[in-house]
Amino acid sequence: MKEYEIVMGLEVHVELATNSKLFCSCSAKFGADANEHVCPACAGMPGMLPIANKRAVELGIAASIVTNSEITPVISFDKKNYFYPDLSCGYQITQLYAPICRNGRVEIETSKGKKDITLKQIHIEEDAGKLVHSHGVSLVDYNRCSVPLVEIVSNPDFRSAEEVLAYLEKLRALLSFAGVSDCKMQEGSMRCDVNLSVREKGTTAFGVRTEMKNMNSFSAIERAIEYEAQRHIDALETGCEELVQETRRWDDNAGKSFSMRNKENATDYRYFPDCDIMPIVVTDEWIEKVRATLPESAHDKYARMTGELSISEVDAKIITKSKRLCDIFDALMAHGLPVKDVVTWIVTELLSLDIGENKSYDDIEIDCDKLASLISMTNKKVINRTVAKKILALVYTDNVDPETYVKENNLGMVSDTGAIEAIIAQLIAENPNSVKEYKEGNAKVFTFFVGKTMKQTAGKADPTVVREILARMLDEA
Amino acid sequence: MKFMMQSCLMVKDTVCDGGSKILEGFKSPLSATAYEKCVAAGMEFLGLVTPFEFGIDSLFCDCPDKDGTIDAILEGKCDFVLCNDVYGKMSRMAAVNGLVYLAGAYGTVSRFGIMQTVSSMDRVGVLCKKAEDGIKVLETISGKDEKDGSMLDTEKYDYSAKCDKVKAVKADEVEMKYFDLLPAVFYTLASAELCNNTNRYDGVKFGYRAPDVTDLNDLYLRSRTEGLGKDVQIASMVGCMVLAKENYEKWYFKAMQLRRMIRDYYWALLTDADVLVLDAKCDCGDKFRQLALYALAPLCGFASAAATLDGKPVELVCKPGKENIMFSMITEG
Repeated sequence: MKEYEIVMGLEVHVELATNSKLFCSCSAKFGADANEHVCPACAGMPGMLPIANKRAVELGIAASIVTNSEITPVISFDKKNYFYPDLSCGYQITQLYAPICRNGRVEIETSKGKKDITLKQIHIEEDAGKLVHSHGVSLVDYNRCSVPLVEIVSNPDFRSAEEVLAYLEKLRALLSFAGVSDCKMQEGSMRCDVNLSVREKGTTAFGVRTEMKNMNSFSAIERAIEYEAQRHIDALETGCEELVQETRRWDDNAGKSFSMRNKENATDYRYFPDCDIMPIVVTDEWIEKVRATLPESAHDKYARMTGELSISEVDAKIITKSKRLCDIFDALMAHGLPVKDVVTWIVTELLSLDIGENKSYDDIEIDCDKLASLISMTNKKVINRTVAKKILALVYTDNVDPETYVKENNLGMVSDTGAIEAIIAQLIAENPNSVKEYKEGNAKVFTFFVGKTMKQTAGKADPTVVREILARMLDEA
Repeated sequence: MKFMMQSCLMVKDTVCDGGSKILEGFKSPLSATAYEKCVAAGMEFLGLVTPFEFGIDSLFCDCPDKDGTIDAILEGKCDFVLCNDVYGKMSRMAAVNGLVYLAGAYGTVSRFGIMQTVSSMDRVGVLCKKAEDGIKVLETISGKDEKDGSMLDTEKYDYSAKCDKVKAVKADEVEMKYFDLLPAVFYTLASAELCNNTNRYDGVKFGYRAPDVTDLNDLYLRSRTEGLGKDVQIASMVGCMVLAKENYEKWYFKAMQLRRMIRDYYWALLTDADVLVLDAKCDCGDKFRQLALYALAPLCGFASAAATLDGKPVELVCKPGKENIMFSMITEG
C-alpha cells in the first residue's frame, strides 16, 4: 500500500461571551425556555434594523489579538442568503469582504514538537436558531438566533488528528482566557467543521475534499477524522467508492459519516454587502484599548505560577489548562491562603471530585468563599483532612456552608490528647497479639492501630497527633 | 394636522400588511419612528392606506395615474400621507395630480418601522397638497434615531430658511451623463436588495402560510408563490440572478461601481448648481425608461421634491444640506 498523508483545514465557530445578541438587545445567554430571548428583530419581522453590538466587535478584536492576526482597518458586514426555518430573516449577517482579521497564527505542541497553524481569517457573524423535531412536528426556537459568533478559518495545515486536538485545546485556552468565549463544546458555544482530504505522501496536489460537521466533543472529532481519512484511503486504494466534494454529517453513535449535500447541489449563498450596517473603523487606539484590558493569558499565568509563585511545572500546567481552575486559583489566593495549600486543594482534592459525565473542569461551579473557609479550617486544625474532603463534596453538590456544617454535625477535630491516649490505651490492652507483632517489626500493624483510633474518634482526631501518641505508647507498652 | 400612512409603514398592534397577501393579518409589534414623531408633535393619525405591494411600483402591468394614496389627499381625507417611494411612483403621481411629494435625503429620516424593500434607497416621504405643510412634516420626522444605524448625525433639521437666488438647472441644459444606464443600475441593485429583504416572508413565522403543505420546500414555494405579487416575484428572480456567484462580478458589482460613478458625477453637478429639474411624467411609453427619471435621488442619496413648477409637473433633486434652497422653489411668497 502507498503511504498517505491527511490534509485538513478547520472552521471553528465560537460563540462570543456578550450579554446581548449581535444586532439587537435580546439576552444571548444559554439555557432559557424556548423563544424567551426573542424580539421583533431576531424573529425577522419587517421594519427592524440591525444595530451592531460594540462588545461583540471588541471580542472579535480580542480574538484577533490572541491569534496574532492582522486586524482589518475598516470592517463591514455582508448578507448570506439561504432558506431554512432556523434562520428567521432568510439571510445570515456575516463578514465576507472585510472580516475582522486575516493571516493569524497559532502555535501548537504535539508529540512531534512545536508547529505553527496559520489562519486564513476570522469573521464575526450571527448564529442561527434551533429546530426541535418531535411527534411529527418541527418547532423552532429563536433563542440562539443572532447570538454573536466568530468563525476561525484555518489554512489546510493539519496532518494528524493529534494536531487538530492540540489546536482546538490551544484555541480554547486562548479564547477562554481572553474572555472571548466560554468555549463549551457540549453547549455548542464551540463547534468545529473539518475539511479533510488525503494525498500520497510526497505529492503537493490536494485530493478531493470533504467537509464534516456535527462533532460535539474532542473525542468525536478524533473518531470522525480517523474514520473519514480511512474512508478516503480505502476509496483511493480499492476504487470501491468515488470521492466527491461534499458536506458530510458525522454520526457519533454509528461511528460513520453520511453525505449531506454535494457540490452539484451546493447552495449558492448569493453574498452581498449589508447596507443597513455602516462599515466600522477599527482604529489603532481601539485595538490598544482592547489589548490593555485583556485578562492575563494562560501563558502569562503559567509563567507567573512557575516563576514568582514557585509552583511546580506539572501543577501549573494542570491549573492553566482550564480558565475555570485559574479563576478558582485566583479567588483562593485573594483570600490570603498559602500557595502550597491552594495548589494541593485544586490539583488533588478538587480534581478528584465526581463532577459527572460529559463535564469538564470548566464546568465546576463552586463557591470559592466556602472553599477558602474549608481550607483555612483545615489549616487551623479545626477539622482534619478526611472530614474536609467529605465537606468539599457537599460544598460542591449542595453548596453547604463548611463552618455551619462542622458545628451542626459536631465534626470538629478531637484535640484532647487525654481522650486520644485513653482510646489508645484501651486498644493496646484489647490487642496484645498485634502489639507483639508490632514489637517484632511488623509496620503494617501501626496502620491498623491508627485506623482503629480514628474510627473510635469518628474520624475527628488529627491523624498526626494520633501517630505521635500511638508511636510513643506502643514503644512504652 | 391629520395624517394617514401607507401600510408599508408600521403602527404597533395594528394590522399592517404593506399591501401584500404574504402579510395577511400581520399585527405589527412596533411603530415606525416617523409615525411616533408625528404623533408626539400632536398630529392626528387617521389610519392606513393600502399601497402597491410594499410601496414598490409595478413595471409589468399598467398603472393608473393615481391610486388610493393620491385619492386620500385629493378627496381631503387627511392633510398628508407618509409613504416609502423607492421606485418614484408617488412622486410621479403627485406631480401629475397637482400635489406635492417631498422626501429628505437618505439618512435624514429614520427607516425604523418601514417594511424594508431596498435598504439602501428606502426613504420616508410626505404626500400633501401644499409644500409648506410637507416641509413642516419633514422637519418633524427627520433627525437621528438610534434604531437606524445608517443615519446622518444631525439631530434636527430646519428647512425654513428661504433662498431668493436658486441656481436651478434643467435636464436639457446639462449633460445628463449615464442617464441611459440609470434604469439598469437601479433595477439591478433594487432587485438584489428587494429579493434579500423579502426572504423573511417565508410562511414559517408570521403572515400568510399556504394551506395543506406537504413538506418544507412546498411550504416555502407555495406560501411565497401565493403570497407575493408578480413584481416582487420577478424582482426576486432578478435579484437571485444578479447575486449568483457566477454573475456577481458582472452584474451586481458592476452596478455598484456604476452607482458610485453616477453619484460622483451628479454630486459634482449639484455642488455647482443647487437643484436639478426633471420633467415628471406619468407615462412616457416605456415603463423601464421612465424609471430613469426617478432613479437619481434613490441612487445618489439626494433629497427630492415632486411638484408643479411653472404649470408643469416636475421632480426636483438636490444634495443633502440644500433642501431649503430646493423647497424655496416650490413654496409661495
